[in-house]
Amino acid sequence: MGKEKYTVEAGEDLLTYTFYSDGPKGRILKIVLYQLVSKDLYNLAFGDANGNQHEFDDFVRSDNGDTELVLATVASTLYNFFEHYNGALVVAKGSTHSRTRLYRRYLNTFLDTINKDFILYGELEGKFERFKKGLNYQSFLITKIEK
Amino acid sequence: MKSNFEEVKLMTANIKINKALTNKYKDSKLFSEKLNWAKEHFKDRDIFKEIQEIELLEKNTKE
Repeated sequence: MGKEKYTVEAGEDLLTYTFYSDGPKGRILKIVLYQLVSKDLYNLAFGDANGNQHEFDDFVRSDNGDTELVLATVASTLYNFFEHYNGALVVAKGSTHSRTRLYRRYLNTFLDTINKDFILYGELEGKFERFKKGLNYQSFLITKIEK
Repeated sequence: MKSNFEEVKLMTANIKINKALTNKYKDSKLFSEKLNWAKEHFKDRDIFKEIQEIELLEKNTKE
């Protein structure tokens, strides 16, 4: 959750965000969605536009040399989301093990920053617990700390 | 010193709202699959209750 991020556009309901990744593979449109799963529970989904308006690829696959910057930008949308959806829970999971591992590594690195504003949970064998560094969580939940 | 949320409040003011983005991508195949995963994963589960129990345990452990 470093300071550097891409410039983001958002839909009116602050559930859809887009930004462009700039790197060796060119300019790639990134989409971040907060999908309503059930009352106050949202799924964080993201993908790359692949040229087809209606089909998208999973994000990190694009390998545009800016993974940290892309993840920091996605993380920044959480602040905007929670500003408007107070009390919500957001679930995130990579679409493959390697992607989930990448998110876990990122969360480990920025845990101290995350913990200032959010409570993070990890899921192990179908059971959530407070996120601890070094464990192989399969999915993550995040909520804003009530202040 | 500003908290991240205070900083983001400023950012939110600067974020460009694009009305055309609202609901634009929600029906794409990839995103539908992701939503289906989440719906299935949390089906018959009270995740808010699970979180409450974790927090209670956390509080009791601290005390």
